[in-house]
Amino acid sequence: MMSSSTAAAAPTGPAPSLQAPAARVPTPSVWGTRIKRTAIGILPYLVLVALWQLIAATQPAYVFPPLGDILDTIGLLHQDGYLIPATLATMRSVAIGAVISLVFGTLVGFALARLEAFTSPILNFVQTVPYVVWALMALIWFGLTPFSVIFTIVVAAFPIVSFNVAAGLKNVDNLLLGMSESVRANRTMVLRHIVFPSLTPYLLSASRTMLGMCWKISVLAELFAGGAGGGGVGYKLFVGWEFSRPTEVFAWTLWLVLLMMLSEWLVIRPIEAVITRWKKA
Amino acid sequence: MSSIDIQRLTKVFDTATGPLLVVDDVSFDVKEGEFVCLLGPSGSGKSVTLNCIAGLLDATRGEVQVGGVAVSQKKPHYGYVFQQPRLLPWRTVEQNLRFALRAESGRAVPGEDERIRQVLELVNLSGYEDFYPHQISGGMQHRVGIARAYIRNPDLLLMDEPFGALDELTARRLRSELVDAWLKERRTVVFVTHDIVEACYLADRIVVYTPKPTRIAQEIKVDLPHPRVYGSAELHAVETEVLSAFERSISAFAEPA
Repeated sequence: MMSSSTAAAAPTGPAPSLQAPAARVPTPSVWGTRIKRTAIGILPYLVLVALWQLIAATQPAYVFPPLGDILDTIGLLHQDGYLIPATLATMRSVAIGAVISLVFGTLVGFALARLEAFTSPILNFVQTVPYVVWALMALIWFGLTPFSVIFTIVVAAFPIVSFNVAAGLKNVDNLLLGMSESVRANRTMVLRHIVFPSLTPYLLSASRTMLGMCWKISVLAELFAGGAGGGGVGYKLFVGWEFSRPTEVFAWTLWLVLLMMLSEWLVIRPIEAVITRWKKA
Repeated sequence: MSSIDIQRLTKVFDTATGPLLVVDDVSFDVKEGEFVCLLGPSGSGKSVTLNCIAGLLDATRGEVQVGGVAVSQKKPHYGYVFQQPRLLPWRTVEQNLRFALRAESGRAVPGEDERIRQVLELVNLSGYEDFYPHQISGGMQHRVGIARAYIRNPDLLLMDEPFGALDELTARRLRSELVDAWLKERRTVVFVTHDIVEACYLADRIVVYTPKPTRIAQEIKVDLPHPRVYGSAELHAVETEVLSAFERSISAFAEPA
């Protein structure tokens, strides 16, 4: 140990004090791995940007606008006061849709685990009907309202949660259930301290996929619902299309992708960190 | 009151290949505060007997009484120690014990903190309250499992090969701690094991089971004071006696076939 610390400290030149090198030795490697990890994380985006610019350079701007134009358009949309209200409208639908999907999906997941023969066909039916059809049906049933948008989001997103919850329920540790029986745990205690903690990894991965689905379906639903559906990103995107402004279509799409990634970073990751903190303790 | 009285206990399981007789007409009793080991080869129905005492399994024929009350009518108040510690991985040591305390009512129990402190002291784990199971050693996890069995203050402790998966040195330490705890807070104990040395070290009395279908080969009283010493002449004598009972039961079982 002595030899390794002196060897590492040697290149720094002046004779180091005895305590200093031991503390400093591991730091460069930690930073090294962190930088490497960041680089690997950025790399795919760099490749995407490079590819985009390459294609854009060979195509006319109205077919394939360069990234600069798209970012400029996002800025212009903001200046004109379209960006924030549309974003808020879509975010609202996504947030409400995601929460309902999570709660309702979990309940249906329990039903799926308990009464599979009954629940499974219904769930399969809901899943087989194309999302576009649900979006149109929602308009017929609920009219051109924000509620139609939320309905379409929920119908598309909740089965993801249900299937994951049902799979999680099958994997609850029987040994722990046996233990709970030996201390005569009541049903609420078993749910709270054994079943739900066992479900958290399933709920987390379901939420990830489900939230992505909510964003995508919100655009689809808003596109059909028109301005009365809340005037969200999907509607604006459709307007851009209608008026033959392809850069605007790209701008709204890129903006949506950014929002999706932000929701993963600002919502899912923090929740995950809180729920799994016992593992890192 | 938690003496145990087992009368002509028979347990048959229905399997795909027909009925399987696991415990065949077994009768024995355990006095209050007595430490009894059920010793037998693997798959000899020791755990089944234990679960019949706990009321987790119903007897096919015969009856188990704990404290004079049939288990089929009222499940006994017991603490159970499993082969794996079976701790909730997402709860700390203290929260695991609290779960056991609150499990039945779902509400806080008066004197909770004091009780948790006591059982942790009993198993020499004071100071580990806030550790998660994955942060402590396997031996310590087993101690938490034993503390959990004690915490609801049962008169009866049922143990199903609790040290079977541990290395011998750790197992020895935990056995001596178990004896200490038992001498301090005397309970009726039924301890299932296939380890002859373990049974002789722990028990007041050893009930030796035959291979399946289980009958009682012999009951052997171990009249030695605690703490007992591994490898001592007295313990060795008991071990020899148990081993010969074991061997006789196996050869008696093998011959008619």
